[in-house]
Amino acid sequence: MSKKSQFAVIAVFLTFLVVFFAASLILPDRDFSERENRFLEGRPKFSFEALFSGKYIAEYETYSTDQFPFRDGWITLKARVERILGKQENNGVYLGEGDTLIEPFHAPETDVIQNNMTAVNKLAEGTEVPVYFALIPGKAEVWADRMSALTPNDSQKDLIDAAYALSQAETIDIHAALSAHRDEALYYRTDHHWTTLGAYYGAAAILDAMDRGSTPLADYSPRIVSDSFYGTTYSSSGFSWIAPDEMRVYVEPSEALTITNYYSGAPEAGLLYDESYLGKKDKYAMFFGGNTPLLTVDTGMEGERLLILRDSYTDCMAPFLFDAFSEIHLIDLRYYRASILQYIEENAIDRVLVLYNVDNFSTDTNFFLMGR
Amino acid sequence: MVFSSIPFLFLYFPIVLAIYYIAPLRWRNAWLFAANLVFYGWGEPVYILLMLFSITINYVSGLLIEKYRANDRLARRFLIGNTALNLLLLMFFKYFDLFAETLSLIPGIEIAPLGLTLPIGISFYTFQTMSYPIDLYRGDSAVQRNYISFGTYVTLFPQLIAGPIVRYKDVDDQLSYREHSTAKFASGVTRFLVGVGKKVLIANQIGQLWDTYAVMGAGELTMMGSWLGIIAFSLQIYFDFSGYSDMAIGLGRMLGFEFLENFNYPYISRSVTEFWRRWHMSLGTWFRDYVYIPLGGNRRGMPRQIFNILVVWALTGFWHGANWTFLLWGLYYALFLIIEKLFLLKWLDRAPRAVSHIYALLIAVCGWVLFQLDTLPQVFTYYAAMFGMGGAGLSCSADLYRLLNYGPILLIAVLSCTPLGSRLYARLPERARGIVACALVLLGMILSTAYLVDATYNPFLYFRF
Repeated sequence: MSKKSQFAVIAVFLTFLVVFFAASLILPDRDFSERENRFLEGRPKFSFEALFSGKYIAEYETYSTDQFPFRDGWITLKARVERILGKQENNGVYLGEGDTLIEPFHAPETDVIQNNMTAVNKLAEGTEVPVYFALIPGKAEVWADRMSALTPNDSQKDLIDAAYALSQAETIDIHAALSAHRDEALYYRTDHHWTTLGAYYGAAAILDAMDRGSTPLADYSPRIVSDSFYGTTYSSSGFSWIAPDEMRVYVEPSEALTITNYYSGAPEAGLLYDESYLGKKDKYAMFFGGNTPLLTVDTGMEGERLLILRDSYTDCMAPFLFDAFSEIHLIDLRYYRASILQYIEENAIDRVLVLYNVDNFSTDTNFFLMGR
Repeated sequence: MVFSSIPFLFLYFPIVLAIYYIAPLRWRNAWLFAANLVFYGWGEPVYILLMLFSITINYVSGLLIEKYRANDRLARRFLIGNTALNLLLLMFFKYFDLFAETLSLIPGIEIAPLGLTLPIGISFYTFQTMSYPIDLYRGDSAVQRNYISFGTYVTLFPQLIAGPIVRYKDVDDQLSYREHSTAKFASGVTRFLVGVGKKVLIANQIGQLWDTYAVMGAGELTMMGSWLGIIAFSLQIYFDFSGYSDMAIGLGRMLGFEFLENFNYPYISRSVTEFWRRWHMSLGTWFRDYVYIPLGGNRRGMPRQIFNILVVWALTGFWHGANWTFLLWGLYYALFLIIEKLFLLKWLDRAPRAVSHIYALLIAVCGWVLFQLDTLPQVFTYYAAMFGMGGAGLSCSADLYRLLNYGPILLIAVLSCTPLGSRLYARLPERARGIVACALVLLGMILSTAYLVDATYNPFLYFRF
């Protein structure tokens, strides 16, 4: 190499190091990454104890990588390069047809299904009122054809069938209800949740199983509440160039509707749609204001009282049930610790629905609380 | 600390380099010594003391050997005592638990394992420090009276953690005088980035493919999958380890040091003998100079030579980790080396090139199974799958999926195992070479930074050796 080239090579190298060295020092630390939907590591506190245990150093490594200048840009670049190199996945997220981001499904050990079903059956046996059990397949199942047929992706249908075979509660076939409409926008492309439309088909199947009539889809006039929704699948993927999702609501709150949210344990007035979340990253939390241990809805209609043991998929589905019940109680077992059987008794519940997404069903460890 | 990390590249290294070049010549070793200790302490603060202890005994042994040179018996005793002490430290910190567990298998013996974490790089720096009194005693190098200079040699951060194993005699002169030049610095930069790229862009990525297959049970592992997995590992370990050596050599040059090469395209070998002349050369040289030749090498007849090969390769294998499978891995190579010595090498010379290449690759790739899996049952399960006796069939759609997804990077990796790239570069006209080098350096830095920032996945394979 000529002298000039040698200088150029050295200059490129040192400039790159110095620029990012300086930028790391000058640019302020960020607390939170919207893109990744998590808090970034802050500057670790130095102590000799932390140093000698190795904790300080581990935290410092995470800190300097988390706070590296233009972090989001680097992550996008890596995802782009992976695509160019022919990878269909990045960070465990598959980029499928129609810019759909899908996390392939990995079936849990069979004893997980067994244990959870034992809990569901204990609930069904422990109460007089009818108990229904429904599993909602994820998009990795219903939209499996948006990925290459070779993709390692376990069948959720098999899991649902296995669980239903063990169920003493009456089962509801959400899988069939969704599969019949698989060409419609049943799931967000960038989030793991079903859309409000997907939830409508789920609700219709549930109402049908309970012998309640459902409102035809054509009778709703959906309203777009956000056109810039980026969900969790997007966050983990790194595929930042994907267009955002639209978010719709179908049911508008009536005058008679009263919602009580036990977010902090004590009853507080709740909202059907907390639109303040639309300005934030976690837009899906606008349905009922996000995760909560217990929430009750007084619909102002005549009819029975329904209890749903549920995950977040129920948030956008519940409004479709308002016309059919007088009260709807939503309990999230991840946060609610008191006895369910007692709750059914005390609140004169008429029907119980256990409604879970297959992914949560496979990983949730709180099912045992159900039969207590 | 590892080189391929954000704190090293964008904090530690710029500071060390800047002060190194600002400092007057006579302060540079002292600065490096201090910087080295920070580098080492970053991972294992407590074990700095162990390393300082090791430096001190070898330094003092050197002085004693020099002082009593006239009295050979005494000098020899110092040398033997020092070597024993070094090996004892290595034995204790690296192998105690293995010995304790193995002996406890005998009824009536119960030794509790200590559960000590292995001091990073102890296998490397023990071998380096030991070489000094031996070289000195043999008259291959001069005594080092400056503690700082000796400490700088032992702790020198570029090769501290994962080699190359630099023998004292190879850097003796460089400790007191080394040339710093633009040409050397520029070649250090390009070499360093070749290493970073090998590690971050290839080894870490391909490693994910191996990780998938490494944990599969007998029922899941197909024949195609097992081959795909172990080929991925073969590439991963080469790019990881040789990448680390490239980084070490590059960083060394930027600081004025010239280390010997450690890898020379091992996967293009046509025999196992050749493979070990191209793979981890500094370790091979170390065992040749300090074990094989002192045992008599090949000068005492064939039976003795075979014995020597067995000893050296048992030790080489065992050096790689505290597990009996590593010993077996060493003996596995001893077997092939002996067969080659007896007759096979002559045959391979006359055989078609393709045959000898495939033979050498096959032995290396199959060897990695023994090397990387922890227990013999796992090893046998894996071999069974590779040779069609696994019970999970020939292949499954997931294997094809992974082959398609990793195809391009595997192809890049395979091509990079050959001298093709450097030959093409050498063919470029002088002017173009400069431009290409600049562009590749920039591209390498950008891509590696992107992958490092993204990576939660950045394990370093040779850390625990």
